[in-house]
Amino acid sequence: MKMIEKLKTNYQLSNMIVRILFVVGFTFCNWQDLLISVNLVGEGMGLPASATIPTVLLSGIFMGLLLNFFVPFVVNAILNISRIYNVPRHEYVLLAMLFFDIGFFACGILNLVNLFTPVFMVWGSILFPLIVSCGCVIGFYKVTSKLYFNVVTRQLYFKSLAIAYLVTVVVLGVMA
Amino acid sequence: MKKILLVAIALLLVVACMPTTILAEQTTDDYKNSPTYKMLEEFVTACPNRQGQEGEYDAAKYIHGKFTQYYVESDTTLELPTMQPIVADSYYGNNVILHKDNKSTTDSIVIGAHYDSVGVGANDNASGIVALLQIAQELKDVKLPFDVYFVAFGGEEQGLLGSQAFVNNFSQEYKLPLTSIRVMFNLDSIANGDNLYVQCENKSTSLANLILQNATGKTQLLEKPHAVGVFNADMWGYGYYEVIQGSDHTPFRVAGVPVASFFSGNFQNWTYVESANSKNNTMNTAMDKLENCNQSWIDKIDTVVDTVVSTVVHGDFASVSQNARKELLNLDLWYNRLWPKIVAVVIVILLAVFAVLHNRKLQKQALMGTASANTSHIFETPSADDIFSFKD
Repeated sequence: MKMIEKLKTNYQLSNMIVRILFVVGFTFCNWQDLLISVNLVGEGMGLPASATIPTVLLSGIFMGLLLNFFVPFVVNAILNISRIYNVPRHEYVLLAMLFFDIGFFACGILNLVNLFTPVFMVWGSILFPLIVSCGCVIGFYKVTSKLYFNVVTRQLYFKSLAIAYLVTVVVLGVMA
Repeated sequence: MKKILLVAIALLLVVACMPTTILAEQTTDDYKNSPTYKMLEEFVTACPNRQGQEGEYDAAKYIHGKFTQYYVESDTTLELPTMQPIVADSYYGNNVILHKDNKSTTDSIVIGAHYDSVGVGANDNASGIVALLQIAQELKDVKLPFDVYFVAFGGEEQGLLGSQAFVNNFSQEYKLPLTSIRVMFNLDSIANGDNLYVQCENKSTSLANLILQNATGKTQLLEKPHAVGVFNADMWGYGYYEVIQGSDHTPFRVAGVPVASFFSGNFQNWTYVESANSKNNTMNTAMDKLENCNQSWIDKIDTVVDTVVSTVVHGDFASVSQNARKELLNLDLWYNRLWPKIVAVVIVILLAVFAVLHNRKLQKQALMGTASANTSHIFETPSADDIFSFKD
C-alpha cells in the first residue's frame, strides 16, 4: 500500500512500470498464439520447428511494444470522438493501460487451462478473452466514472465506452 | 626359451579372447544382418526415388509385388492386392491395398504407411513401409475376428492425397460404411527420431492403454503427451492444429475413425522436432538416407512391428476396438468454432441489453442530479513546499 501511495506521487515511474507490465502481460497472454505463428511462418519458409523460447519472447516483446504506442492513440481517439475533454489524458491513458495489464495477466492465467486441457482450447480461446475484457471494461468504467465524471456527464461517458467496447468486440469477433 | 614361448602364447590367447573389441565390432554390424535392415536396404535400393509420378509408380509396383507374394504364400483369407487410383488436380498416383478378408464380419482395421518420399526417404517413410510389410507378413495367416486392410498410401507428401482418396472411396469400393473401420494404425517416420511415440486421442483412451500394455521391443514406446504441440489454429479440418497431424491418420480421424499413429521424434519447446540434435533432423531433406541407419532404427521398427501385431492379436483388442469410436472426442462439439461463437454472441447481446438498461438508469440520475464538475485525480501534484524544501 505504501508503495502504491508513493507511486501516486511519481507519474513517470508509474507510467514506466505500467508500460513494462503491458509488454510482459501481452507476451504472457499470447505466447501460445505467438508460438504457433512463429512455427507456421517458419514452416512456410522451410524452417520447421523454428519457434524457440527466444524467438517467441522477441516476437511478443516486439508486438507488445507496438501496441504500447497504439493503445494510447486509440484511447485518445475514443475520447476525442466522444467529445470528452475534461479528463486528465495522461492519467486516463495510464489507467487504461493498467486495466489492459490486469486483463492480459488474467487471460494469460486462463489460457493455461487451454494449454493443459486441449479439449477446451477452442472454447477457451473464444470465451476467455471476452469474459476477461468484459470484467476489465466494467472495472475501468467504475474507477474512471467515479474519478472524472459527475452524475450528468457519466451517462455520456458510459454510452461512449459501451459503444467503443461492443464495436471492438464485434470487429475482433468477425476478424477471428 | 620354452618359458618365453609359453608367455607369448598366453599373451596371444588373452588378446584373441578380449571380449570388448569383438563384441563392439559385432554390435556395430549386427543390425545389418537383421531381416529388418535387409528389407529396408532392399526397398531403398529398389526404389531410391519415390517422388514424382514415375518414381512413385515404381515403388507402388514393388509393394504390389510383395503383397502378391504374401497372397501366394498365405491361406485363403488374403485377396489379390489391388491398386487404387488417386486422382487429384495435378497428381496421379496409386494406393496399394492388400485385403485380408475374415468372411464372417464386415468390421475391419486399416494398417497403413505412405511409400512416397522427398529424396531417398529412408526414415520418411521407407521405415514405415518395411514395418507395414513385416506386419502383413506376420498377420497373413493369423485368424482374426475382423478384416484387415494393409494399405501403402501414395501422395502423402503432396497433402495426404492417398489416405484421403482411400477414405473418400471406401464406402463405394467395398460397399461398407466408413463406420465399419474400427481402428486405423498409421506408421510414419518411425526410425530416426529420438523417441518412439504413439498418438491416439488428446486424452487417455482404452485403445492407447492397450497399445502401451502390448508394447514389446527394445525401444520404449511412449504415448504422445496430450497437450504438447496442440495449438489453437484450424488446420486439416480438426478445428485445432497439432504439429504431427500432417500424416495419413488425419483423414481417418476427421471422418470419425479412431486412429493410432506411430512416429519417432521429440517434443522440444512445445513443438515437434525429429531430434534434439539439429544435425539429425533429416526428414523431408536429401539427408534422409540409408547411411544414417543404425541399431536404434532397427530396434524402433521392430518395436512398432511387435507392438502392432501383439495389440491386434490380443484378446481384448476386439472389444476395445469396437468401443474405440465411443471414446473419441466430439470434434463438432469441442473443436467447431461455431458453438463457442454462438455463446459469445449471446453474451454480447446480454451485455448490450444490460448497457441499454444501465444507460436509462444513468439518464434518470442525470435528470435529478446536479452538474457540478468532478476534478479528482489519482496522481497528486506535489505542493510547492515539497518541491522546494530540502530534507537531510
